[in-house]
Formats: sequence, C-alpha cells, structure tokens
Amino acid sequence: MNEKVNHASAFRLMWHEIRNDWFALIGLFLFITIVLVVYIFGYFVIDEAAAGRLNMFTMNQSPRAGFPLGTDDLGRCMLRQLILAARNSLNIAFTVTLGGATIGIFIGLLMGFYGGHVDNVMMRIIGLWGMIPFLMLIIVIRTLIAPQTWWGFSFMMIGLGGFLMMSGMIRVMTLQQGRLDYVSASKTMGTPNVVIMVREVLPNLVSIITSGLTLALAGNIGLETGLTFLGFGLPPGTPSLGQHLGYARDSVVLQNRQWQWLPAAILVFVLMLCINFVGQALNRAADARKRTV
Amino acid sequence: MWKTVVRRLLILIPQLIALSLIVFFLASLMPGDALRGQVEPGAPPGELMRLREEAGLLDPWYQQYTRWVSHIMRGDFGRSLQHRVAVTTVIGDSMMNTIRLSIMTTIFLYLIAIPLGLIAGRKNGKWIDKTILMYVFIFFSIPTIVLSLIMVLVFAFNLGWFPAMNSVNPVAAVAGGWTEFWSRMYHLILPSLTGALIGGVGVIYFLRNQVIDVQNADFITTARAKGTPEHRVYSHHVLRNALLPVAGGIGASIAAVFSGSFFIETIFSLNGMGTLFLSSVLGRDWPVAMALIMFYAITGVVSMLLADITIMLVDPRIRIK
Repeated sequence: MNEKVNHASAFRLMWHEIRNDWFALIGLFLFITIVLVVYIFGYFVIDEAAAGRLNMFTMNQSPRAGFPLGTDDLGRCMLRQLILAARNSLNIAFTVTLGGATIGIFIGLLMGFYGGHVDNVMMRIIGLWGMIPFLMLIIVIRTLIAPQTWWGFSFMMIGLGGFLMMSGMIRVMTLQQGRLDYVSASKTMGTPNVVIMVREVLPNLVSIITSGLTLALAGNIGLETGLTFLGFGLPPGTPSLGQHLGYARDSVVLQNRQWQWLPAAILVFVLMLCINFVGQALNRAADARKRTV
Repeated sequence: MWKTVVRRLLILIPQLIALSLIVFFLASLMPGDALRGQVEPGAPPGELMRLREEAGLLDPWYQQYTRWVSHIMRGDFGRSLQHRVAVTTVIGDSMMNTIRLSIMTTIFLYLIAIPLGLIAGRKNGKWIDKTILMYVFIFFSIPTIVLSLIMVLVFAFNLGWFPAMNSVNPVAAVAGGWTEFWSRMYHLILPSLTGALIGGVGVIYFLRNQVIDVQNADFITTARAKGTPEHRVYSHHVLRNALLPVAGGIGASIAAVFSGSFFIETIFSLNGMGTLFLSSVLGRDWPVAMALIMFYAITGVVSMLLADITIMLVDPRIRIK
C-alpha cells in the first residue's frame, strides 16, 4: 500500500481525468452552460407571473417569430416555460442530491466509524428499504402528503430514503479507512473521534463522494421527471421537465405538437448524457486501478 | 451451498414481517375506507358504524393485522373497491400482460446484447468496439420515458409500422386463438424493444469485460498454442466461459424488467400491473395497491435469491458467505 503513494489531491486527479477525456470536458462545459443559462434566465430575466399568464389568442401555435418554441395549450411561450421547468427540475435534483448526500455522509461516517448497534440497526433499515419498490412507495406517500412546491417535493424525496444509497457507500469506505494505520495512529495520539472522522477520514473519501454525487444527480433528475410524468410529482400548475414530458401522454400532442414536449425530452437527455460523461471520468479518478496518471 | 440458501431464506422471514407491517400501516393511514361507498343513502345513521364493526375495522390494530396476514397466507387479498371483485382476479388479468411484456423484453434484450457484447469484447479497442461503447453510453443515459415517446412517435405515428397503444386489437381479441396471440405479440414488439434497448446496456458492458478477461486467460493461450483456429477459440473456449455468468443473470433481468415497466406500460397504454397500480392509487383502491406493493417486493427479493443461486450453480468458485 505504501509503495504507490499518490500525492496529487483528489480534485487535481478529477480535473486531470476530465481534461484528458474529450467527452467529459465537453459534457462538463455544456452542463455548466445549461445550468447557468437556466438559472440566470429563470431567476433574473423571465418574469414568472407574466410568463405564466394565459393567452387565448396564441394557443398551441407552432414555433414562429416571437415564440421560438411555439406555445402551449394555454397560449404561453414554450421557451420561457421550458426554462422555468428546467429551473424547477434542477432545483429539485440539486437539493435532493446535496441534501441526501449530506445526511447520507453523516450517517455513513457514524455507521462505519463506530459500528456496533448503530451500524446494525441502520443496516437492517437499509436492507428493509431496499426491499420496498421505491417508486411505488413514493407514489403511495405522495397521496398522503401532496407537496405543492419544488422544495417540499425535495424534502419528501430526501426523507423517503434519498440518503440511503450515499450512507451505504460511505459506511463501506469508512470501514475500510478505519482499519488503516493512520486512523489507529491518530487514535493513539488522542485525537478526538469527531476530528478523525471529519478531518482525516472524510478527505480520503472525496473522490468517491463526487462520483456518487454525479450518479445521484442523474438519478434524481430521472426520478423527478418520471414521477411528474406519471402525475405523482409536482402539482400540475408548476412547470417542470416531467410536466413538459407529460404533455406527450396526449397522443394528439405527441403526434402533432412536438414542440410542446420534444425540447424538454432533448434537454433531459442532454443533461443526463453530460452528467454521465463527467461521472465516468470522475469514476476513473476515484478508482486507483483505472486512473490514467 | 444449500446452507447458504437456507440461511438467506431464514433472513427473509423477519424482513417480510417488517415489510408487511409497513404496508399495513401505510394502508391504515390512507384516507377513506371501503364501506363508505357501500352504505345506501337512506340507511339509518348507525349503519356505517355497524358495517365497520362487522368488518372488524374497530378491532385493535394487532387483531386487524393478524387477520390481514392470515388471509394473505390463504391467498385472499380482499376485494377491490373499484372493481368490486377479488383483488387476485383484478391483478391476475393485468399480470398476464406484464408477464408477456417482460418475457418479450428479455428475449429482445439477449438477442441484442449477446452479439454486441461478444463483438465489442473480441474487437476490444477497434472502431466497432468504440461504436458499441457509444451505444452503451447513449442508452445508459436516455431516460425510458424519452426513448419510449420517441419510439412511439417515429415507429408508430410517422412510419406506422406498429400500433401505438393497447395490448391487443379488439377485433383479434374477439377472434381468439392464434389471431389473438399474433395480435398481442405484434402490439408488444415496440414496447419490449424499447425496454430491451435500455436494459441491454448493462449486459453488453458486462459481457464485453467478461470476454476481455477470458481472452487473456491461460487456457485460451493453450488453445491457441495447440493450433485451434481463431474462430473456434472464440466459439468454443471464450464464448462458453464468458456467457456463464450472463446466463446466471437472466432471472434478475426478468425481475428488473418486471419492476421497471411503469413508464413503458403507461406510454404504450398496456394494461399491466404498473398501470393497474397507478390507477388504483388514483382511485384510492388501497387493497389492490397494497397487494401490488407486497407482490413487487416479494418478487424482487425472490428473484434476487434465485439469481444468486443460479450464479452459485453456474460458477462453483462463487460461494456467498
């Protein structure tokens, strides 16, 4: 273990892997561009109230001057709606991913570091949760508590187990790290456990956490679009990528008004592709055997 | 090996009990009960309470729970509130559609994945391998909804090759026999192809790595050294060894298809278990919804177990401790 010490920091390694992979580089650039455009236009340029106003005279128009992506069934500009939808969907994806990861890392560190009863009980819960079909569980709970906003929806998803995958992953890694010499050495020197966990073990998990985050981000975008598409996600009035895809459940729209759902479909696909390309590079950085340095 | 299997089965028992408790409590949290709709408008005021008492809804929860479980043990999941027949009848109808879909999907999946995985592994690093890896990457990223919608748009509406919805042509359904069978198969081609294109990605990637690994094994060098022709090396030595673990995964992939059919069933309007679940949740038909959750959970667990057992049977080196 000691012969091949790699002194490059985790972030340097990640950047190295991304830089040497054209797809990952383009993916990262495209993803950042999309996110920036969506947030800048979604929060500062588009007047949400005005964009959401119904207009009887411009219903279901195909793309034309003034409406680059046409209009929806309420006569609203599809491009503006798409940006607002992407903004809400990205909000959910980021919140669920980061919130779930924070709780997951916390629990995972505790489980892996202390072991014992905490670990046993949590493992039972994770095992049980793994048995329940997650999609069905959310759909059922969704009828009990119907979140009306993107953050309500995010909290519901985190609470229903958005953190379990990350905590399982961190637990295994912490168990591994806990057996290494530097942890025992630190313990003998009398370093408090909290400091060992946060300042010594955690930095060693950075690369695996980032690659887990990208995976979770793609999954959460898919989960939101899927649930809203089926009618169990955000309420119908709130624009989201899933709601835009849901227009296509009407076969007339699917066939004749492609401008109402195809841009959202392409946007979801491009986002997923970018995230997965970056994720693949980060994965290589996290796995010492696959690294190119 | 049987020790492992028995132990796994024993671990299942407390898990299943916990699961049934969760499902039971979820159901009891749900608003509304079955009896409200059954009371005649002109009935005396105490009628609803009397019916509830009779149905045992006023008993303590543990009595209700044990009664529910003992009914399930006898295969009685109660009555559907929407359809007014036994839950098992309602689920049975849609289950056949889902089973047909998952069998067709699995067939397509392996028809696509095995050749592509073998070619990619054999031509490792060549352009054809890179093309296949690109396919793997694109279909790994594309959400099922997006692919399904595009498939419907292109192949059903624009080209008109396949029907866009329903699981059978109504005329053919009346005719019965082979006409009905072929009509069902024809309606399933597009949805199962969609599922297979996405689901095959994992198998291709796994098989490719498998072939690359086996290629470098000592017995392949031996085979080459004794002068075996190259195509025979692949068809007899590499293929068999690389395919073994893939064969072990068939059970798991059928189960995965089984549980991942919500979107495909919804978009292609197939009357399967996924759409049944959605409509029973929307219609507050809790007996059906709960039975479906239990069913999906148990299928998932059992198929995981079966997959592990087949892998153990196929590859004696793997012994799960």
